[in-house]
Amino acid sequence: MPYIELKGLNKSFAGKPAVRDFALAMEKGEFVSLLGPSGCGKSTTLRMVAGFEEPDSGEVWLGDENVLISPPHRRGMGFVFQSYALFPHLTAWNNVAFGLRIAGRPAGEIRRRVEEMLELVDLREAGGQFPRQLSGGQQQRVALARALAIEPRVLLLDEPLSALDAVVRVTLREEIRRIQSALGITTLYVTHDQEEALAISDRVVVMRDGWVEQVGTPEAVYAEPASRFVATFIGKMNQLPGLVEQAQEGRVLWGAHRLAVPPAATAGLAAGQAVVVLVRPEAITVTPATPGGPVEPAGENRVPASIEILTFLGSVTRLSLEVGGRRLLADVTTGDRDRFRRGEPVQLVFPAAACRVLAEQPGGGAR
Amino acid sequence: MSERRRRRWTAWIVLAPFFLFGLAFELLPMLTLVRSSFTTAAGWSLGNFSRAFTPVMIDSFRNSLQLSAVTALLGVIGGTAVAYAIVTSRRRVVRDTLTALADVTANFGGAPLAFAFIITLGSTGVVTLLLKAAGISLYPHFRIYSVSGLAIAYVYFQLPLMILLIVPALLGLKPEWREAATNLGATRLQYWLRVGLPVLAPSLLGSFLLLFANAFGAYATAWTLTGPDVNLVTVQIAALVRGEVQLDPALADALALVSLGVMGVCVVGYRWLATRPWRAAP
Repeated sequence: MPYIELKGLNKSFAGKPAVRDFALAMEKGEFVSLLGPSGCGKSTTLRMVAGFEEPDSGEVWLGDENVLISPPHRRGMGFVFQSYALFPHLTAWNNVAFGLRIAGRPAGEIRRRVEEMLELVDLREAGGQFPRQLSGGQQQRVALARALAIEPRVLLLDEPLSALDAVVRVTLREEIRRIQSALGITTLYVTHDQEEALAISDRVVVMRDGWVEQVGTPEAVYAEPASRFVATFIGKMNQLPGLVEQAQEGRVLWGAHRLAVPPAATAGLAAGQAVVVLVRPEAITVTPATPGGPVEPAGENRVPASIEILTFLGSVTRLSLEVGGRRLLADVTTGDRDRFRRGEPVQLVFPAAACRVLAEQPGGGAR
Repeated sequence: MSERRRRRWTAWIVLAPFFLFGLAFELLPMLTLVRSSFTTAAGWSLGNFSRAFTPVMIDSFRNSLQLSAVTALLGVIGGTAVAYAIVTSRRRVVRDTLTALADVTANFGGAPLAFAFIITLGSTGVVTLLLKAAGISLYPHFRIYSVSGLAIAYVYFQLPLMILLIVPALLGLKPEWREAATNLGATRLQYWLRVGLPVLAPSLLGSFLLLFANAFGAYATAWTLTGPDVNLVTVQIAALVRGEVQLDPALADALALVSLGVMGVCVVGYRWLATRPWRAAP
């Protein structure tokens, strides 16, 4: 039996669906992120689990108990807000002690537990300070300590890092994961930052317009996106629209180019079927152009291109390439950057195994 | 002349009428008041102040302080309740209408307000007569021309003023605080006792002080409604200036200076509370 299970959750605001038929099962100690753009329903889902929003239909099971019938304060969920939501008139220490005092715990236990939580978030020295005297990162640590102090069964975090600057965000996300792992607490985390979700999650739920687009490990979601939306939302992805030429052999026509793709990817498709071939920029090898033009694919694809823009991104340099009027992106290590010049012809090589194929839907989408 | 210097001069010129107004109608009268209250026929003296603390005058201070405290308290309690209803109202038209109404009624005071109460709750007032027809006699148990009637009239402008003062503070209460408190196990009552009211406390106390000062300085409503029947500081000051019983402007100035001190304490207290860091602000 899953530790926590969300079944068929639906929620509308003023007749407009915000969450549609959301389902998810989590194991104890698992860290799952709800990822998607603004308005996709991820925060609403989290708030329904916490009890701040009442779903139109659906169930939330914690073990063998349907917690939807319980008020928010009886659900055993710790909640961390994007805006920290620390009580401004209380010190960090008293903020952390708040839930314990409400629960009527003995003074000695409260003292021990608060010290323990402040130690856990590395803020032992800041206990006497008021929220306004703390930085954003410190305030979010206090908020995390406060949520954990009541020993919740599930930890819910609603975009906890989005109000922080980039450096603090990276540090704190690692801290959150370290603390989560140390405590083994089941965690549902909301973010719109795909890098953040991929970095800290055991599994990622990608959402769009209230629907779940894909659920999987970060590696699976990145390498095998279930839809064009997931492919473009998670990292950069080249999209090559084409037609299936030979389904059994894994051949797709992309403009004037014949691409080799994994035969399994086109196996169920008819010849002439419109598809989109997806290739990550880092899967493309760029070499200076060689005479003779493209070679008939035999497990790998060779496409001539010319360099339009070179963008320095740190350890890699991203090349914007022009291929017969279409644009592609390819990453090269910055150490090789000197080999390439703007306007120069190059040859792109990418293996068939790096290609993913999505059949075009009648409405224009691809799955 | 540099651009910056020119702008500064322009700003001073634009502000000059305001400063002249303040000088003529605030500062100079106040200085005159101070000089007059400390001056007797024998020169500089505290004599006027010693005369200001006769039993009648002390009684007027007691009445003014009590009336101000009671009406400020009623204004704080009632105004906060109505303001909370306004900010939590889902319909914007209700919110805007009630706020506009509070804005108007907070400025409806003095003689017109007193007359309004006389024609509604006076001995031959509309409401009084309607109640009488229904078998309920307000008079002689209740009189609008008494201190309790005056308190009702004061609450009429104290309550809307409180609404205007406390609405911004109520809007400053973040919904996440309530959600966080709820998530940590607090009931609605516990949230208000441990979070809502402590966060609002500086605003509530500050507003109480402003309402207190507002009532303490009120004159026209009291005089029009009760005349000399209710012994208030402002009524005493006016009587001494008009010379109805005795003409003694110096004593009136001494009383006014003490009143100014009372209101000064209120304003300083309000300013101090308004700058408390945890004060809820939108």
